[in-house]
Amino acid sequence: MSSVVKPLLQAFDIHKSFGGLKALGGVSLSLEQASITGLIGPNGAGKTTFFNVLTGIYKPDAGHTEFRGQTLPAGLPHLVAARGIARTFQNIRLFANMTVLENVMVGRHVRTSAGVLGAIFKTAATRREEMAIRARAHELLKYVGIDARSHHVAGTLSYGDQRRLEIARALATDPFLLALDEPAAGMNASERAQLGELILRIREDGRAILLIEHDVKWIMRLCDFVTVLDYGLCIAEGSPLEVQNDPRVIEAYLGVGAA
Amino acid sequence: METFLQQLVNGLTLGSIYALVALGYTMVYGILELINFAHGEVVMVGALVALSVIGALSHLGLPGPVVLLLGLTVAAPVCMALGFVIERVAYRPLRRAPKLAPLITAIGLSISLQQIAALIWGRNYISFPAVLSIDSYNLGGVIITSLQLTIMGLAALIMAGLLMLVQKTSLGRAMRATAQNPAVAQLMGVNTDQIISFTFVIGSALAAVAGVMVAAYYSVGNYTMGFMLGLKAFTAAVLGGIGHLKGAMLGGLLLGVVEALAAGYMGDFTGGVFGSNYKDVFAFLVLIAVLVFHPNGLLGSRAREKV
Repeated sequence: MSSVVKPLLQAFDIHKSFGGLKALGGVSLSLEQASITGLIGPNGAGKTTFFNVLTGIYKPDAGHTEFRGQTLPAGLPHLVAARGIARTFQNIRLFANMTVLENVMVGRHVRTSAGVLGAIFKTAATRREEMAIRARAHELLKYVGIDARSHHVAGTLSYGDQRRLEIARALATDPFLLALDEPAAGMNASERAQLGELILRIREDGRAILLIEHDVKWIMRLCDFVTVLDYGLCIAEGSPLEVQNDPRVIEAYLGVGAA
Repeated sequence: METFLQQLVNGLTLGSIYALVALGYTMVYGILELINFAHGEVVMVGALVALSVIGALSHLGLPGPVVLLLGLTVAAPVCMALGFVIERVAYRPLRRAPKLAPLITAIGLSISLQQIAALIWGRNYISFPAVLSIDSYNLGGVIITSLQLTIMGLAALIMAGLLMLVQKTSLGRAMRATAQNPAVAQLMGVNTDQIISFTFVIGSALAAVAGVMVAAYYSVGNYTMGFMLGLKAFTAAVLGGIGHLKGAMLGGLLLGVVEALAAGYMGDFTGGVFGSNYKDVFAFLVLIAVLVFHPNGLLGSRAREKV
């Protein structure tokens, strides 16, 4: 008997076009539990489109995704969030006018049960839940290292801290899979190293991470697996070493003849 | 001085009502960037439903405030249901349409609701049955009635409650998150469609309260009453900074006071050429002035907090 661990996520033949532009032409990939997977590929390869399909922002034209043994609802972001997938954005999208703490508290919304009546009449249960949300939000801000700024307005944070806040907000949804879209963009080497440590810590907590990144060196060091997209197709997947030596990958990045 | 204080009291009463209605405009704008021009008609429906209920109960000999409360108890759910249906039927299908489409729809809806109301309640003025015994208090020459005190007190209570709801509860957080960035709010598990429905329902509940207040204050109502009231409340929302809750409250009170003072002094200042019946002009002079000199409104800044 072999004890095969089921993958956390399996995407089957995902297609997505915008008018005549085929952004995803049948992407299939799988992610392991508590692993770090890098999603790389040239600009326009379909990486962010894949993120958008995965998190329910776009409805795929064809294909489906299984997550923890169940088919993910397509095109319904709030239900995908409830299943346990959270993400950050390439261009930071915080609730800029809310405080740092409130941003993370919004992230808890998906795990909140208090309804409209509870909110209006402030029942004891609602108050208890609200306190728990606040405590958890502070915990997460400590985890990413910006709790000292919890009462600042989110838009006033430094760029690096905004990235951390976005991760804390995503973690507030208690995800099994955290999808990070270019989290290191615009960071210097030391910020990048700190972010790498944070990502490793998140994996140690048993969460899987899917990561879009352009810095190939950084991603090869950090990731357990790497998947390469090119023109909306998955052209290679495997360990960083395997992928690095794959002639198709070299061709996609450097052009025909380079291999 | 007495005229001034008297008109201040009258203006604050009227302003409280404007503020309640303005909140409905501003909340919807904050979340959808849509001017719901049918909102005034929701106020009208609230007033007429309440008038019907109060009329039916007026012969039973119940105490006035109880009858009024019963009128509101029926009017509020009717308006909340109406607000819910308006959003579902008229605005949700146009969520992705060009901005002009829902705006035109709103105007069409406003006219339709007026005509439906005319079919139900007729085109005549419906007077408020004399169920209330209103006490007047004379404070150094300034007369203030128990009805005015009730209107101002109730409006203040409701507005404080709304601010609490939006600022301090998880539901309010979800509303603010939806207003700032609906796509991201969804990724946090916020069901934004539900939040939008809820916003319309809350706004309509406030409209129902305002409708009952107007009917009681002016002792009369008819199917066109929502039009002017809606325009003025919209003006109040713009004056305060549309999309801004406290702005709508401030704008409403301010507009009420400006209008009352204009009504009080118009005759004196123009030597009797223009009378207090020109007071409506002032609301729109204020609107023009705001749009010209401070388009973001009094409390609105460029990076304003919506809702």
